Amino acid sequence: MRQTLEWLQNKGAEYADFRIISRQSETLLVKNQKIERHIENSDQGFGIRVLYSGHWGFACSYKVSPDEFLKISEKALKIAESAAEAGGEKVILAPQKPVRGTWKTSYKKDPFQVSKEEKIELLIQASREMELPEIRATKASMDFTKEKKIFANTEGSYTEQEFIISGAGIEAIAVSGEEHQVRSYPNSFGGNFFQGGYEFIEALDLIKNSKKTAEEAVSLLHAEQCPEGKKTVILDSSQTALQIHESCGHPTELDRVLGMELGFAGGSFLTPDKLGKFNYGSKMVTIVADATAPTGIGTFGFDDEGVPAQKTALINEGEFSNYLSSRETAPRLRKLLKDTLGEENTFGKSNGTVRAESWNNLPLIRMTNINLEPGDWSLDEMIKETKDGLLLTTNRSWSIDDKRYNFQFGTEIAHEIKDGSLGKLYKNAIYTGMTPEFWNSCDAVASREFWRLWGLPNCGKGEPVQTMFVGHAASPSRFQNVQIGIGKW
Amino acid sequence: MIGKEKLLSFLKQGLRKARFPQTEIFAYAQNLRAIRFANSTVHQPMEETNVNFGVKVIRNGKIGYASVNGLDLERLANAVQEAETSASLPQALPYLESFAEPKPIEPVNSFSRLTDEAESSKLVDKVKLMFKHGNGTGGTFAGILWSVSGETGVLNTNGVELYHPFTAVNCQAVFTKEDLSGFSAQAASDLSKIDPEKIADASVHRALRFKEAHSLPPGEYTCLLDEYATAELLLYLAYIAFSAEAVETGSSIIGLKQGEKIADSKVTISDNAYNPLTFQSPFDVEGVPRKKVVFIDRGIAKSVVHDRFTAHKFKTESTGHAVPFDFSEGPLPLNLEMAEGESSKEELLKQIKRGLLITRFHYIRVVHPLKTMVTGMTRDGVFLVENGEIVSRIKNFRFTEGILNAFSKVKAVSKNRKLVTFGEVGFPAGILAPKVLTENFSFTGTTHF
Repeated sequence: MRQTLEWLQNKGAEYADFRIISRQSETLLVKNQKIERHIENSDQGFGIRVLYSGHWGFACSYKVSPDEFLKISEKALKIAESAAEAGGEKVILAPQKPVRGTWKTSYKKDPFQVSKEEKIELLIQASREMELPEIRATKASMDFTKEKKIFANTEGSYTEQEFIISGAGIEAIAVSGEEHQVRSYPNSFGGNFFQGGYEFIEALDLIKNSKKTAEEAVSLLHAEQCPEGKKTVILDSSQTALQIHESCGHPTELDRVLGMELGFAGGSFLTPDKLGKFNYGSKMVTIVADATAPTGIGTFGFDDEGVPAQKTALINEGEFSNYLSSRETAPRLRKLLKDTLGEENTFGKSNGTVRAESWNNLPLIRMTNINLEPGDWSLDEMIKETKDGLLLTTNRSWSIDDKRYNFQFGTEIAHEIKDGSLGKLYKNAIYTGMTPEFWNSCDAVASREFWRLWGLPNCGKGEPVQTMFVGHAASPSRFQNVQIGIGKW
Repeated sequence: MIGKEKLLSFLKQGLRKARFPQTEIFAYAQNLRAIRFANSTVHQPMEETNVNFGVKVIRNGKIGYASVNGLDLERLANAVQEAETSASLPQALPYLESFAEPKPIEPVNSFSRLTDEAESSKLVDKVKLMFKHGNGTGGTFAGILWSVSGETGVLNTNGVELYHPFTAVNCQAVFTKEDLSGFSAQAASDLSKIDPEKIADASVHRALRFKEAHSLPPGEYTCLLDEYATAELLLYLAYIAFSAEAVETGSSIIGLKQGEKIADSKVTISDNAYNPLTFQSPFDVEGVPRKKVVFIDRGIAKSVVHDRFTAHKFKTESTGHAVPFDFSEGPLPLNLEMAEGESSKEELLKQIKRGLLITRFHYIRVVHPLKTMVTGMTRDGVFLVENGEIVSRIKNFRFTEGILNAFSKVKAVSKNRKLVTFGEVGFPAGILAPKVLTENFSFTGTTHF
């Protein structure tokens, strides 16, 4: 690696970084008590990113060999030269001291050492418990990833990291006529994901939770349609997590703000003039980006630009206070803020959020673990102090506009709250709103006792689309005057 | 490009490592060049060389899978062994006795040598042409131009030995000036068919046609959906309704209402991998020749796509729509098309007394699969049409609507269609979509821009 990087420097590269990644993954899916997919995947390769004349070039290959390192370096350099000829704003990287170090996921049980039979048996049992007359299909799945990443750059940084991600979940699908309802545990779309070993799968206790999950799916078939109107809503921890993801995480990505994702995912309403003077939410709302959170799937030792993991407040007691940044975007932000905050404002340094999905992707700003700090309410207190509302649990659908203002979420299940007590069940619950108004209507956040860390393994961004592991810790939260019950049913 | 001889020879060497008589190996190789740009600057250009292999083994009627990348025989042999171990598990899924038998394959030509040989610098040159069209406007371009040279190969112990080279190109651009934006795109198998200046002109025109956007309240509007917007609805309809997997899990309206009228008689939707206007592909990852499948025929629910796995479950034949097995959603149509109508764009506009022209949608998600209800936003150009004339730009809407509800109120369909791609950069899947004029399309919210 060192020789390749030196070669690039000698060829005039202003900066270059080099990642070698090998990844092993295992996916198990049991459908209707039968193992439907059990896939072992092995993937490896390397990617080289070169900055030449202020422009990037990136090339990668599956052939991990010194000959190929040189060939791909030449290619990356040539691409950067072409990009430079097209003109445009030049990249200036934020300074970063070279880092050398290692980082490894802490785990008790290596999931790749647990027998396949044991894993499949657990999923089949969970699936069996979900079999009820109106259940059309059941799914139970596990996913494991083990990744080794070596990073080096022309500034002398060299890091080695090893990650283990484990996830599992169950799903019951109930169908009657044209009604189709789903319940899942512990979360929808594959369950919950952790950085750690098989001990997390065991702690989920999928079998114990299976029957209740299926029973709720069946109950939803016979539940009333969610009413339309404006009400108080309490989001459970997992739905709060997704609300953070879509309406706080993505808008604070500085590359989006600077227009670098406009061709695909879109931009952000969170323009730099709002920094430090925009009420994103109520005083209850403090959101941090924490790449150091234990067991978070957005946790690492060093990002893909050699910046150590950090914890940064993005929204502090409701006030927008920082972005997720990179070495490329931070200097641009500092420049944009020089008139209001002075030339030497503190926003010129990366806060270490750059990752690529794998060896064959360019590194981008990605969410780490974007967490809503806990409040001091209990869930019971929140419900007791709600006159007319809904408790919304587990995401079913999500959508938000390309500047991250207008969102609409559906949840798998809703419970009426009437005069401080939980009431009847509603199906097809949907709520919608505008990001700042919604977060400013937050008047209660549950305490640390209710705080859960959720792993989302499928955050998409960039072209080619990169799917990233990101985390969100949240506790149930209450919002006022929210529009519910959208669409013709 | 690895080349036919070398790729098939490598697959044969891999197959020789198999211990059981039923083994199949699928290969997908690609050289991808992707020039991503934003703020009228090439900011994320890249090239990728990769080859992936999927191995399937059947042992005593049970199936095992494994996948690996790289032209490394030892690693491929390990994958074969892993698939064999997987097939030997007591809980492995009873599947078929054997893999596909050799069948004649209809030849297609979807490979362009010039496209394969075009280096990144040539793509950057095309992007530079696009940038020129933004000069002096105060706006900038963002988007991507990618081209891929790819090869697929399937080999199994029953004698299937298939190879298919292809090229594919897609260019799309969003031109933005403050809150005004416009979008345009082109997709083809051949780089020479991509006209970046035309894309640039169309997106600039759409963005700057009006100086500002006005607000309209949510509600039901007559809508002329541009090809991109139609294609997005087709994509989601395919996902929730057009596969055997969706029938099995109860989310497919085709499965529920086969033979019944579910859309206007002007609506015919099918999958046809041999249409020269799409990315042609003669066989699937299981080596099965692709069949033309009609999902909705003049408004009537017809059929869904199968791979060999779902065909076995449903006691029918595979339609040749297997996708790589690490994709969990089962068989999928990759060459969707909606039948053309008879109207020109002008004739479609003339039929609108008061309605909206929708460029495209953004972030569509499924709200209720059996009702084909989805939600999403409009993006990059919503225009008010009055008495057949485009009169102003409108701020974006959120819609929450049943796709088949919209396709049940179709007044007219354009005679011209456009190939639109989504999703994976470098993956040759496209939707051949017309413009569709539909009534009472339900918008349920608005936004600030």
